[in-house]
Amino acid sequence: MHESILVYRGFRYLKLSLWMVAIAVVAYIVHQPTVGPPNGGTALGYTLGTIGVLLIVWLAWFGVRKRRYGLGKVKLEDWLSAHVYLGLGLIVVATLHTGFQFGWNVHTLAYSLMIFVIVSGIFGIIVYVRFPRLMTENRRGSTQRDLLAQIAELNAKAREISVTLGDDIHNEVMASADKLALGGGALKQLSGRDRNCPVQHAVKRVGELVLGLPKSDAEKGRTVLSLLARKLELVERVRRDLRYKALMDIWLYVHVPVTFALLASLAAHIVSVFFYW
Amino acid sequence: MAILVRFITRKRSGGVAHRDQQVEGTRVRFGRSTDNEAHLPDPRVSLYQAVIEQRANGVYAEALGGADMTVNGQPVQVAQVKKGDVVGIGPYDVTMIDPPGGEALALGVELARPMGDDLEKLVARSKLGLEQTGMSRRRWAWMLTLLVLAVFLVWPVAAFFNPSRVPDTDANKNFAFRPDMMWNSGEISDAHKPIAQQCNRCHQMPFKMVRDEACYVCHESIQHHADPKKFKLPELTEVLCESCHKEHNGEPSIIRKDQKFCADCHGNLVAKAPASTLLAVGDFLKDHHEFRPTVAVDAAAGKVERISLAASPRPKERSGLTFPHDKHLRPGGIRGPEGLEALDCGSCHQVAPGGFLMVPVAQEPHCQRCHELAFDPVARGRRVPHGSVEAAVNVIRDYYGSTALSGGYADPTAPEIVRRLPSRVVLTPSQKREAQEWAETQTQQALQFVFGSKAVCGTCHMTTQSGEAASRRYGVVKPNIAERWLPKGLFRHSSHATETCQRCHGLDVTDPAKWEARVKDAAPPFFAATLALPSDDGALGAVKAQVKAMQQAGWSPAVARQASAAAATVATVKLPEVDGLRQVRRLAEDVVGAAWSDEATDILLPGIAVCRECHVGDSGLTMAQPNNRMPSSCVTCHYYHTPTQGPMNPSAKSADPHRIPGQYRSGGTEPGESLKGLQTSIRNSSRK
Repeated sequence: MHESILVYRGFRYLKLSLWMVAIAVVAYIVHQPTVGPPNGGTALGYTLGTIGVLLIVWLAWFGVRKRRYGLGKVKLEDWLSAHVYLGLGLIVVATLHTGFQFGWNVHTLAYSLMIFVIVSGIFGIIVYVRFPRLMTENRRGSTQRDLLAQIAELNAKAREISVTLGDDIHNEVMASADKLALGGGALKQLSGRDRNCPVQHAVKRVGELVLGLPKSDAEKGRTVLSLLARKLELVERVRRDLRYKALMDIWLYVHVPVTFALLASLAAHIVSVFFYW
Repeated sequence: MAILVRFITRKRSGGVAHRDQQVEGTRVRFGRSTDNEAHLPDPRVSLYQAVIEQRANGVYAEALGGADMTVNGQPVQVAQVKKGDVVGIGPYDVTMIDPPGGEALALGVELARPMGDDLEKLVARSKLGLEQTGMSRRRWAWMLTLLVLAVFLVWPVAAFFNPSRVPDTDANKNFAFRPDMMWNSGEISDAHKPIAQQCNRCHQMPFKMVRDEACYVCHESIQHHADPKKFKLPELTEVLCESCHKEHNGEPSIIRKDQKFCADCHGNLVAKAPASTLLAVGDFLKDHHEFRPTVAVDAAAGKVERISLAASPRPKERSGLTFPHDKHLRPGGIRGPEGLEALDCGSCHQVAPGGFLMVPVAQEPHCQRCHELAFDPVARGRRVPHGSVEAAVNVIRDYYGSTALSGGYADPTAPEIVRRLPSRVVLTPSQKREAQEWAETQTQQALQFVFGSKAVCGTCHMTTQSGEAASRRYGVVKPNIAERWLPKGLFRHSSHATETCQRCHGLDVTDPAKWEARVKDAAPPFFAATLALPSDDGALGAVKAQVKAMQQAGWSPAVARQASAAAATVATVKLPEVDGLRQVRRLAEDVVGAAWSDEATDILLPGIAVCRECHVGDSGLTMAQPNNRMPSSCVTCHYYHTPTQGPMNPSAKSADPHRIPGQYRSGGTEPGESLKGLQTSIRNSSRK
């Protein structure tokens, strides 16, 4: 049975993260700064900041580690489970490091980027937990390639029959095959919709044209229409499939580049604090 | 039973090839899976898509699991089929053919719609996946990283090393933007807001904590907490300004106010600094000694001493002044130039600008209107000047000398020569001698009257005289009046404006034992006169009942309070006019007036207990006490940088002590310029 990374090893890394958070919170409550309000510059502030920066670098290292299949003694599942839970725990550690002092400056920029990365990671967890099942249900055992082949076949079938019908219908059938492009830009993939879908257009149009056919051709017309309807259903299924896939991928386009921006702002944060000590 | 499945392949040349397969049983299943009787290896076919079966009543084609199937082009789920019918299963056409070898059933299977270009073209047109959209995580990562580093690190650092190219925030307050402002970790304190835009005013060296020299630029003469040569403590010598004054925390003030900061050392100063003579202090409520005002113990010698208010006997102030308060504060008023007038504290005492000190009382604005300093009833309008013994003696001498020569002295006992109408008559030598003798006698009498009696200088001052007769020398002890009784504390009168003066300065507060004794003296005549009043009408009856109860209860401190309250009622409330009421009122005033000091040596300062009625230390109260007092830490009244310990800045040009309001002691006669105006306005308002 496949074990989710969330319940991996009986929540070992969740427990680790909760311990870290609990210790940080207790220390924050107990600690009385010698001067001024709680802030990043007290003894505890420096401690939490150091823990935070080490965590961030280690969490970012996961991007390197996951590319090295089979290397290292610790399993990748351990890494990922720890990455998820310690990343969530970092929210508390870093927030306590700020002493709840925020402003329009490089320090809060680093904090915001960190929160942005973590939130995108939470999105990633959600899609990884939810979407594989939705995708399987949507494809009903086929692969995406199978679905595309079925669409191609329906193109051929419909074309074969529509040849003998009028040009109006045949042109719609041809357009529904030749103009059909699945997926597309990032927004199209993420929305799973296509306003100018040629298949949808063809179904609507042929549906109207069939009514005007002579009795002898009515049977063939209805056949073409049902083939187009079937194709539309497949096309939408593929779009849904692409949408799930895109959502499962898109968060990494935020998570990874913003992580690098975070590392850069973290460097600026640390340098600036000691530059203007 | 056997079924023949014939797989037909059409060649490009037009020829047809076929491969036959015998199936035992009554059905043939079609699908992509290899365990189908008819294996259809095409991606468009499901694993088990359809079945063709010999049933009792004929041959049936049936789609499996809702899959696609057509019979002669019509989409159906199940249908009976006969010879010649074409069943469409995905891209395959299955035709019912004549069994060539006598089998029960024969099926021709042909890939009628090969995948061909349709699929490849569709795939080519589509973008299947975000990786095909041209978005690149790597490119984004590089762009963001370089952008952040350039804007938030390189730019500010470059600005720091090229200060001439940074906008002048003083010249363009509204628009100038310094890139290092993006490093600002929090709002700066209010006092530093004017330089908040100029990071390099404080942050002068990279990777170095803010140096004290940066602070000394403005805080040039800031004073030490204690003499660092005498007290070589790391707390005093090894700290930076910024160790205590932490900026950028969004707080309006960066002055430390925590009691612990002071009490850590001052709670046990003997251990920390054995050389110190200061007493140990901690929490204001629990651990602060009684106040030790600076008391003038000998005005003539100008000697002052710090003496605790708790000392026994209670310290006495010998300032050189002799007038008591109670003479001026009779509730019914005192005789003034325009008749009876009631004075109160504010008639003489006003809070000085700044709110901390009182304006020093001086003769001209406060006393002169009633105490005119006349020295001879005949010499109308002639007065000695205040402030200089020499000037006073000269005025007297001049007056009698010139009168003796000019005449016109309207006193029947004087010699005729000085009584004559003023004229320019030239006197004979004997007349002249007689007049001069008279003048000398009069001068000596007047000097004795002015300096030697309780009438002029002696009304308020201690005076001295030495020598005999004509060569006698007179003097007035220079008053040594406290401006700041408690110079180590900062008491702000204006912060306590909601309280009455008496709340803290009444004799009942400052010296309760003395007050009680005075009430005890004044009460019996008041009691007796009250009970003797010939009426019990209205409020009078109630007062008489009160007095009777007090008499019966016998004397106690509580009765002193009640007697004072009853007397205040009689003195102020409207009572039925009966014979003897005036006398009772006068006696009541004596009881009330007992709260006013009757000796100039009384020190009318409240003890620490009076402050504690409202103030507690910043550790607050114990659980048992209601928490309705104001938490006050050490810096509520004291300061860290003590004004007299020398500048911290080694290169301070001026050694002037850090300014604090007022001096410790003043002569009482020559207030500074700023106070003169105030005294004039007080004088003018009291004349109205």
